[in-house]
Amino acid sequence: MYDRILVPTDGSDVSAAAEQAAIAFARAHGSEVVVLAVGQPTPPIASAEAAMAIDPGLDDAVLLSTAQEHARNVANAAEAAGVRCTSLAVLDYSPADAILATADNQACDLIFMGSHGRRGLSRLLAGSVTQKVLAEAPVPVMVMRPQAGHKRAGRT
Amino acid sequence: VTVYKRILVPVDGTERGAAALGSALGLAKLGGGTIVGVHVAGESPLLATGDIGGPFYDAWRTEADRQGREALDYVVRRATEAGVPCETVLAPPGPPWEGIISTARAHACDVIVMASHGHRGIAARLLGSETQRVLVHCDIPVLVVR
Repeated sequence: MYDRILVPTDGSDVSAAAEQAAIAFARAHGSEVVVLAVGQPTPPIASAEAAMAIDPGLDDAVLLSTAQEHARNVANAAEAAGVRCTSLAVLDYSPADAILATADNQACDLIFMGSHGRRGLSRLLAGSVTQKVLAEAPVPVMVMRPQAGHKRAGRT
Repeated sequence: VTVYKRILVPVDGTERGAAALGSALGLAKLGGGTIVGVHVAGESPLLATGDIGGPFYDAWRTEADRQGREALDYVVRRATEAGVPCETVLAPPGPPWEGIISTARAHACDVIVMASHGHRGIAARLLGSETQRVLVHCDIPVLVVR
């Protein structure tokens, strides 16, 4: 039970709380961790003028290397705790789809995630990444709530 | 928390509540934890008529409590079969998410296990509304199971 735990990361404080909890849980129960960072590319834009305005920081290669870095950081923390870890980084327009696909193809039996990684608590009710994963995941999802100190940190 | 020791599982006497109970028992076995079963009856429709305390309300409450105890008896049976220590709480009627969160606090639970879905039609494809409310309002982890 709970042999492979999927931990999506976006490098934020909220996902950090879920990462730490997942690593501690994996360590206590002898599970393996699969870390996934998803870079979300800017959708193609028809107008050349609009395309000129795109932040070059959002170039796919940069997005992917940022995702790889986030995944590697978590993998390093897992290994430091003596937890076996696979680190993955992908680009996907839908982070939720990437998380669901990875849970499936990596045969994960539990997902640990923060409840407002990148979209804000207000989006929980309006179709955020976590909401979609919760509605569609075939395996249990442990949702880590922000701790009291963070509670008012996001948008309200 | 690295190992979850006090696991709250709300039950409503339906099958999807039973699915969450199975996961809660699994989690309890994994870490030597205790299950805290809670039942919260949604508030009486009679409340709107101002009948609280009247004979119709009393009859409603008696029936709601009976169903609650039945759902909690099921938790005790399953926990006993699984060899997992178990406590039960029959919370006063009210919005279920409020009863769930206040019971989690009052009974020092460190995780809540809930089903993700409603049971029929479109609800079967969406995140259950009670689970959603608990997720928004509580500050301990919630294990959401299908």
